[in-house]
Order: sequence, then structure tokens, then C-alpha cells
Amino acid sequence: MAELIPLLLQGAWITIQITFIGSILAIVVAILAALGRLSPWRPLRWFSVAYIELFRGTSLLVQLFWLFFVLPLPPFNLELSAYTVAIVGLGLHIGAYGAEVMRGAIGSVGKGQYEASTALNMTPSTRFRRIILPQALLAAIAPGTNLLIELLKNTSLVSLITLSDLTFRARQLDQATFETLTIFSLTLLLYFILAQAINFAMRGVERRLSRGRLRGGLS
Amino acid sequence: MNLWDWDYVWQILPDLLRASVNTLGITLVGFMIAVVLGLFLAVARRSQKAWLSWPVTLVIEFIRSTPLLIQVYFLYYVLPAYGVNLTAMQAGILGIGLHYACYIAEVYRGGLDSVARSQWEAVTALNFAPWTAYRTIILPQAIRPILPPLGNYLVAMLKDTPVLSAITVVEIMQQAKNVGSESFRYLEPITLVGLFFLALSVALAYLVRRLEVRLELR
Amino acid sequence: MITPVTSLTAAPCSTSPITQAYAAPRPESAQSIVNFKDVTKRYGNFTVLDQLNLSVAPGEKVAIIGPSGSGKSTLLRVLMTLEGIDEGQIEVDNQFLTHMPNRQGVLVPADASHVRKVRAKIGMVFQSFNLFPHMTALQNVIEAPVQVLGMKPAEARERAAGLLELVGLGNKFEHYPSQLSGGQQQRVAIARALAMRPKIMLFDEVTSALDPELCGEVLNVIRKLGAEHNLTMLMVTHQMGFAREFADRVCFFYKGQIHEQGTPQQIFENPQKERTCAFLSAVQEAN
Repeated sequence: MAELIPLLLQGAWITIQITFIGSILAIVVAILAALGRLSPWRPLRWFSVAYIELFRGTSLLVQLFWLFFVLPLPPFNLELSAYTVAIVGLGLHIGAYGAEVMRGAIGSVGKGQYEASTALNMTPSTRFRRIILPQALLAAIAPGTNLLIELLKNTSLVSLITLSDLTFRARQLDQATFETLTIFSLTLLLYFILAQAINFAMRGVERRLSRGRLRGGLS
Repeated sequence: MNLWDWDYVWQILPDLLRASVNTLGITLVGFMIAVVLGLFLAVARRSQKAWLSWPVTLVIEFIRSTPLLIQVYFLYYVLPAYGVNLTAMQAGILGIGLHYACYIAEVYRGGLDSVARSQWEAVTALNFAPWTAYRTIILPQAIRPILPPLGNYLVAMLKDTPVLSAITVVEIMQQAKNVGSESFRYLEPITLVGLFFLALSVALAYLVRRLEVRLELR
Repeated sequence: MITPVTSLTAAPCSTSPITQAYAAPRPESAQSIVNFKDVTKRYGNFTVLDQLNLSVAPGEKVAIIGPSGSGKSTLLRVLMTLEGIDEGQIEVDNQFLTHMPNRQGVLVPADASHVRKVRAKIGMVFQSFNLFPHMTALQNVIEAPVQVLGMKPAEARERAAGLLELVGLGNKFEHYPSQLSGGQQQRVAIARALAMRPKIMLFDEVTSALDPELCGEVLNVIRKLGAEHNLTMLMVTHQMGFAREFADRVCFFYKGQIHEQGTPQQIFENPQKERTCAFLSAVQEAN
């Protein structure tokens, strides 16, 4: 078993990388799409809705295959590495779900915050950046954590577009050594640990963002 | 090579449609497994007996936190060593059913918890036997808020079926890849598959919303 | 939010009353810092402000009382541009709030930057405080000066410290709103509004959400402000005692109009109209 672990960890490292970068892309896309969805400008709103429905309505694997097999061909002629396809596909897919989470989170910020900001003569962009978004991000953490764990689990699919993530390595090792039970059990365990790490990290983020907001004693 | 070859589309459509029947079949059977198994898991998790609820909770959390693909690999590649030889189709359906049973168990749990405490207390005070209590009082009330999330998971399962192509189940995505690799034209097959899922998931999502309205949950 | 004013359906550059009025200085507005002229606001079929006319002199302290639903808060809200009006004009410090002159000197609905320019002179304190929960008291007070006025953080912090001390919260700079009592939060809200150096302060039932024993500290701050600064104040309030001793003028609001107005003496001791009497006696009963 000792020989298996280093190779699995190599795969796990790739998994961690694409989870992390994919998450950042997903968060940025989610905020942009949520804003687009709430925009008063109709073309932007329709575009956002189309993006959200398209990426939520089709399977992630279909999206990955499309990016990996179809883009290199005419008329697109865009050849992306498996690594890039993985990040873009995961980011756009989870970002679409994230957009709905952000929309709900932005909607949960009280009207009084908007009114106070207007009374203080803030421009809409300052108001969003300094007042609304920080509060919305805090509200988005709970459902967002679940989405990030979904993203982690979905990274296993990139093994099917030949990226050497944890799942790919597991299959490789299995075909080489046939220690099937050990390999797949270890793999499951590693994913489980990574999921708990995400939980832990997000709880830390929540603690930091909600500093001072929970009922403390009057001092 | 032109952009979109309609002749090619008509050529491959029969193959894709045949495979789509597989896709739908897997989804439905897997859903039935998930719905039934999920109920047992939910009840076991809520049980007062620690020896039952703790292991079940662990299993549910573990399966929910790990990828479906690995779980399917497990069923297809690991079990034969223990004498259980599942076909790809069987492993796929079982894998997807088990995976979603754990999500649906949580939906049931939420539904059961949402039935007011007072109902549970009344049932105890009137000395109902546990199974009768569930059947006649608790479940009917828990069912309404449960149905829309169940509908959403049905859609999610449908969209997860392509994962099974990894163990060579010939569902629609696998068929598209086969067809594409034969003629090196991937644009039409994969796009068609995408449209297939989009159409079905939009239609199902619409039906779920209609159901919510009818159940007066919106 | 800015709705077209229906009385401007005349062709541009015609001798409509508005263009004429704008070309020459108007006697009454030259002496008022806030002027409502025939302001009407409707929610669907319900008219909440009905041809309202109100003129407030600089430094005047106006208390607005009346039954709920009479439009008192809406008056403050349209002045603060939180809501638009359907008819009429509002002038602030000799400038139109909701309209502006275009190049031909004709009044057109104001654009956002004009509104912001005029709005800068008004500050508001809300019934539900509306402090920014993710910022400390000090951060709440420096936020707008830094972000909107472009003040340097160090200078803003110094001013904020002074303002928080003015409202009696010198030892609560680093506290978050959730760690402050209602009265303390409202006082931070007052400091926050003052930080933008408004000429006009609006108080929208600022003690209504407070426990009775906490009202006093907020009212004391308002008293202090009135004594030490030359602010124009418009207050919607249910605190009759406070209105009586503090206000220069009391307006009794009923069904979207000023039903009766006068000095506190006139309104509280010698109400002329029937509804005013009815309201005041009902309030007496409640106390």
C-alpha cells in the first residue's frame, strides 16, 4: 500500500489545484451572473438567464466533452489543454448554480441597508461594493459551501478527459496492480478528507466575515 | 467541412435515440431505488437507537461527500473480487440509486422534521404503534414539502447518467462519443446530447414548478 | 425613481409658468431651505401625499405629527429621494431636487448626478437605525466621508471620533452594532448622518423602535444638536412632549396634507381643527 499513496497524492494535488482555481472562477462568474440577472438592462439580463439555464440544464460531462472534443474542431479551432478545460468547465458549471445562490443572498440583504446608503449619498456601485456585497457573501456561505463540495466531487469527471487527477490515478493504479479495494477505498477516503477540509475552511471564512455580527455581550 | 452537417445529424439520430431510452430507463429505475432506499435511510438516521443512527449517518455523509464516479467504479471493479459480478448497467443503476438515496434521505429527514412537534406528541399520547403513526398521521403531512425537492433530484440524476459512460454503459453520452470517434465529427453528436439534456431538464423543472403550485407550496 | 412631472407637457421654451418662475428669483423660496410645491405621490389608487405645500426656513426645527398612514414618513422619504413623486416640485437650498434646468433653461427631470449633488445637503436617521452590521461604530461613521467625499481615512477617523463623542459614545468606537443597545445604535446612526455635513437633518420616528428608557438618550442628542448647531431639522415623531419643547413649528398631518400647523403652543394648547383635537386627545388617552 505504501507504494500506492505517493501516486494517489500526486493525483490529489491536481484535484486540489483544479478545485481551488475552479472555485475562484465559479465565485467570480456567480457574482457577475447574479448581477447580470438583476440588471435593469434587458439584453444583459437575458444573456445571464441564458447562461444560467444552459449550464445548469446540461450535464457537466457533456460540457467538458464539448469543450474538449468540439472546440478544437472547425469552426472554433480552439485547442485547450485538459487542465484548462477542467477549470473552465467546472467554473462555468458551478458558477451557474452559484449565480442563483448569490441572487438569493443579495436579495436577503435588508432594504434598510439600501436606504441608509442612499441617505449617505453613495453611488450604486459603491453601495454594492462596500455595503451589499459583503453582507451577501456572508449569507451565501452556507449554500456556497455545499456547491464547493459539489465542485470537488465533480472534479472526478475530468479523469474522463484524460486529466491526471485523483480519480485518473486511481484507475491507473487499479489497472496496474489490481489492488482494487485498497485503491478505491483510499480514493474515497481522500475525497472525504478534502470535503471536510472545505467545510472547515468555509467555517473559518464564515467566522471571519461575521466578526462582530453574532450577539456578543455588551461591554 | 461545413459548420453543421444536417445529413450527419439525421444519420446518427436513431443511434442516439436508442441510447436515450437507456438513459431514461437508468434514471427511472435509479430514482425508484433512491426513493425507497432513501426512506429507510432517513428513518434509520432519525432512530433513537444510537447503534443504528450513528453508522447510518456516517454512511450517508460519506456517500454524499464522495464522487459518484468512484462509487460506481467501486461497485463495478471491487465487488467482483467478492463474488458479486454486476453488469455495467446493473452497477450503474445501483451506483446512482445508492448515491441519490443519501441525498433523498436528507430530504425525507427535513420533511419529517417539518411535521409539527405537536403531531408527534399527539401520536405518542394516543399510543399509536410506530408504523401506524408514520403511515396514517406523519407521512401524509410530510409528503407535500418533499415532492418538489424529489423532482429536482430526479432531474439531477438524469444529468448524472453520463458519468456511467466511464464504465461503458451505453447511455446517450457514450453513444455520442462512439459515433463521434467513428467519423471524427464531435460537434453534432455532443451538441445534440447537450440539447437532449437541456430540453428534458427544462421540461422537468417546469413540471416540478407546476407541481409546487398545485401543492400550494409557492 | 425620477418620474416626469406632468405639468411640463407644454412645449419647451414656451412661456409656461415653470420656465418663467425659474428665470426670476422667487420670493418665498429665497427664504426657505426646503420647499414642497403641490407635491403629490400615489401608490396605485391611494394618494399618500396630496398637493402638499411646505416651506421650511433655514435652521427651523419642524415636528411632523399625525396618525399612521397619513403620509408623514413619505414626506421625509421623497425629500431624501428614497421614493419619487408624481406631481409637483421639491426645492432644496434654492435648487430643484427632482428637476434640473437643461441648456435652454427648461426644467426636465433631473439626472442621477444632479440628484446626488442636491441630496448631499440632506441627512437622514431611520426608525430601524440601518447601521452597517459588518462595520464597527467608527467604521460606520467614516464609511461615507471616505467613499463619497473622498476624505482621507485619518482625517475621517478624527472627525468620526469627535462625532461619536458628541453623541456620548466615545468609548464604543470598536463595537459592532450587534454589541450596542438600540439607543446606542441610533446615536451612532445620528453621528453617521452628521459626518456628511448636511444642512438638513431628517428624523423618521427615530425613537419608535426603542424601549422607553432608551428614548431619552437619543432625544438628548437631538436637543444638543439643536442647541449647538444651526441645522434645519424635520422630525416625524410620536413624542409629543419632546415636540412641544423642542420644535419651532408643529405640523399636523392628515391624509397626505398638512391639516394644521403652528407653534407648539398653538397646536398643543389651542388646536383649531377638529381632527387635530381628536388626534391629540387620542394620544393623551394612550399616555
